[in-house]
Amino acid sequence: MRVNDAVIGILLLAFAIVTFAYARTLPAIPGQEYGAAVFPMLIAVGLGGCGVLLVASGLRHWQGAVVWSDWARTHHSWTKLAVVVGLVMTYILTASTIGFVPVSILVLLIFLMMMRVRWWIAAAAAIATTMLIQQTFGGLLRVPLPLGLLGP
Amino acid sequence: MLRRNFLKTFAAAALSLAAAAGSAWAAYPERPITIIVPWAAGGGTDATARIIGSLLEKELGQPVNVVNRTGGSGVVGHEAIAAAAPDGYTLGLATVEIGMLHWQGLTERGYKDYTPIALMNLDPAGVQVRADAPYKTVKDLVEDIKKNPGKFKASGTGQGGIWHLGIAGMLDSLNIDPSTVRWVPSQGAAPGLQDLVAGGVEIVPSSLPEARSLIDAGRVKSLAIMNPERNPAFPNVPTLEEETGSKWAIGAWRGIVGPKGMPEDVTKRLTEALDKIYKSKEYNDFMSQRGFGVKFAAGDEFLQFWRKSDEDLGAVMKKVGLAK
Amino acid sequence: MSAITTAFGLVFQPSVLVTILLAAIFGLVVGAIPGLTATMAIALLVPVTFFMDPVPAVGAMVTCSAMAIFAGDIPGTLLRIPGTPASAAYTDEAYTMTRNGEGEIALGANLLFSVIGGLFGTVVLILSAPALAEVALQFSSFEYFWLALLGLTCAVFIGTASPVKGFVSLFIGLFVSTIGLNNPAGVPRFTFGNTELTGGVNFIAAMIGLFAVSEVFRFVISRSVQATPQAVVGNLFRGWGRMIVQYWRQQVRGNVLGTIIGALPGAGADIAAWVSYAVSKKLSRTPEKFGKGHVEGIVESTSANNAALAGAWVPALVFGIPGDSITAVVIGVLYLKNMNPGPTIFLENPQYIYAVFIIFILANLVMLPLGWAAIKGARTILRIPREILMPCILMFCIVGAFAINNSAFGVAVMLVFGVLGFLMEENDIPVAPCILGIVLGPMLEENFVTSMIKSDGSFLAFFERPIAAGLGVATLLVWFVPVLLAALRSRQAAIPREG
Repeated sequence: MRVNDAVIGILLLAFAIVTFAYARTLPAIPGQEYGAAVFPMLIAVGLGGCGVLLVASGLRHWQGAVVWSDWARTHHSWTKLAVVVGLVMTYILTASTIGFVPVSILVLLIFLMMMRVRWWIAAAAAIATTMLIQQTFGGLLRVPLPLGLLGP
Repeated sequence: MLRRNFLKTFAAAALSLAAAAGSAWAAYPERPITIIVPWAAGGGTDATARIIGSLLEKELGQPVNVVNRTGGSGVVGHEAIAAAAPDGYTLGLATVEIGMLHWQGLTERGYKDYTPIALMNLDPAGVQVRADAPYKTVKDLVEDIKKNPGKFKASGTGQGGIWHLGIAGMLDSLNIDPSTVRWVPSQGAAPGLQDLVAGGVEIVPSSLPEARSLIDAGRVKSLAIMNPERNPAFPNVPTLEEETGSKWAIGAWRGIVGPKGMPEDVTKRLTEALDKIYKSKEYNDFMSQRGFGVKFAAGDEFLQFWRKSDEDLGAVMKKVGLAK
Repeated sequence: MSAITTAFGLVFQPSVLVTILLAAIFGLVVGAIPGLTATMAIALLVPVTFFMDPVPAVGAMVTCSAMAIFAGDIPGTLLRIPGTPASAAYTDEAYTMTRNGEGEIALGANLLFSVIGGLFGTVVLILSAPALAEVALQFSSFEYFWLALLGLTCAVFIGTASPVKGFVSLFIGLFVSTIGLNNPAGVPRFTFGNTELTGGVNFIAAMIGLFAVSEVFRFVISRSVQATPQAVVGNLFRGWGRMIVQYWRQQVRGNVLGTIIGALPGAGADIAAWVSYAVSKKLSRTPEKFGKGHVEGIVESTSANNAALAGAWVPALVFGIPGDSITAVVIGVLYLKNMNPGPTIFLENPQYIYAVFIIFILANLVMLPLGWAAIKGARTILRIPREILMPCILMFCIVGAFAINNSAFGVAVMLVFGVLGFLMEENDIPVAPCILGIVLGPMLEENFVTSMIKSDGSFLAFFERPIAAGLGVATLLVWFVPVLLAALRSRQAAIPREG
């Protein structure tokens, strides 16, 4: 999925303008001539400048706003991408209440099955990986992986 | 090995599930305790938390995990402590900044949101200058500051940090406009001190233990300490009051706290354990080797100390224009 | 001389050697896991060292950190997940080599030159610690400002086909670095009242997202499961002799640069690796090969990051000023063990200092067999079918991002940057400059603002101190000479060139 440079340029320009406007609202600091706003404003100028250059080069090679690559033409790929993003979000939202072990097994299982791994291999891999992480991170390295339902 | 541990994990999980159904406070603590540190691994607060953690582990017979939740000048970690379940299994090592951040409008949290358990440490601010600076006493320095407003720059922590307030409050107590010494924000005492030696700034009002290695190396000297008494580890450094008559005192403190509303028997058990740790040889050896000051106060006494520190800091911040 | 004998006696005891070995294995494991840095490995060791004698305590830390920095190269090379930030500079290069079936050579180079770099840094530490520390101590915000600016210039040299897109990536990184409260003014920026955001965007979580998670996305959409990039199973040591002969200049340059940057208290192994990689490309006779699986840049930067580790001990031992976040932890332990750092330690406790030196050498030597074993073991990962491997990698990434600050926020950051990295690379915007921007942004801003406070707003101050002036002139030359040369050349050739 190749977005034309001009489109990226316009997005960057818009982002730069918003950033610049926001940075102007940052308070001045007594004793500092160059306060909190200076840096974000400089960065916004830089981003905006890159945006303008991209618009210029993009218009020279205009082939439509988006050039779809092979994968992007299939619904299949988009669904898979959405599932992966969804799985990570599921982890973020549920791990602290349900717990690392069950959520991890679930996430891995769904992902593996989606990749067409046979179910029993998927189950074995999901459980083995989860236990390995629980042992190394949770045990050896004392990372407080959420216990969730398994906890008190 | 792995399999045995795996089985053990499951057995423990099943057990704790069963235990949760029964009486909750049968024998605190019955599972591992977490201590949240609002500062990065490797700093003084982290080290203090880790020694307290390992001693608490021995004292309570349960693993104590020290967990760093860093960022935002301590906002993130202090918030995590306050937001935890008040069951005694999540504690935190709160630092002086929790009495400052709310004045700057950076958090809503204050002493009201925590259960104070035990104050463990206090490091008063000092007045450090380069070893070859022409001042013999803090009085000489103050005279020069008065004569040359704007000439002096100081560093050692971020804008509005504890040492920034230290020097601002000191100047204010001596009837000098605090803005005559400009503050150069830094990521901590070590970079500030390095800048002092490199000639970037003239004063670093950090605590003495932070400056210790450079004092020992003969690069930096400490002119005074902003505390009613001298530090036994640095008996030659006079107090600010001895030198100038100013009663201004300020310091960075650290104390074990929990979220608000912890059960009384839990805090009692913890206070006992921490009191024992405070009196232990290991703790005192550790603190004196690092040069950290020790101060203990439990429960209400800690709360009084905390509240006073909070109000004093607020007063200075308003004067200096750092409070919102 | 007796102090050296005593030192050997202190080190060569079974208990000390076993401690060092265990610490080495621990360091390998932690370093190889993305999200867990060498600093974290050291911090986890602190409670253990409470109960140790001074020499094994320090020995454990030295060995553990050296191992962790090397081990970070392994997942970076095999899976495009830099284990530690110090490996990020050449992760893409090494991963490309793996895809070309040359993972063996890349890992061999990582191991060999990590060892040599570490030994070189140690020699410098032994021979010239006091003098070098004296120089490092003269660095103030003015010098660091130029250093940060020079570092940013690396982004352009590392760069890709389109310089503009390299800059886009760099500016995105710089923007990300402004998020949060950690700026000289202490003002929350772009946080929108969110407590977690006041802590800013952790660049390790961002790095895992940009490199590893985006790779998972790309795998998911690749329709035909591509042939597993199979490392040629053969001799790891293949090509060692040739590489040493062919790249001795790069290696020496990486060592020197790494040690110096490491010795500066404001810069560590990660910046050393970036700068070395850029220098390597800039001075290479075949810069066009960079980024396509060429070992030259890896040689230089992997030497640099391990040399930086020893360099960081220079100011730490001489003045008690940490050269990086690892030595910051170590200094605390030194105090605990009554080995107070400072010039006096060389006079009062020379046997301890010599013991530290011996351990440094040992740590780098033990890296050879252990590193070899780790690489052999890790290589089997490549034999796992990718449709099984990739989901598991995603889970490791999630946990690694969580472990940085023990919060699900890190996972969210990782996801956002995973999507961002995927979109960027689909559109030929390189991700490496973005990381550089996140790392150097705060350094640049802080040193600029503090310099302006100190100089009361005079820009001339950036050239008033001798080292600052030298760095400043160097930076300006690096910036403008290529532009001038290009202008001249294009006039001569009368063919307009882009960029």
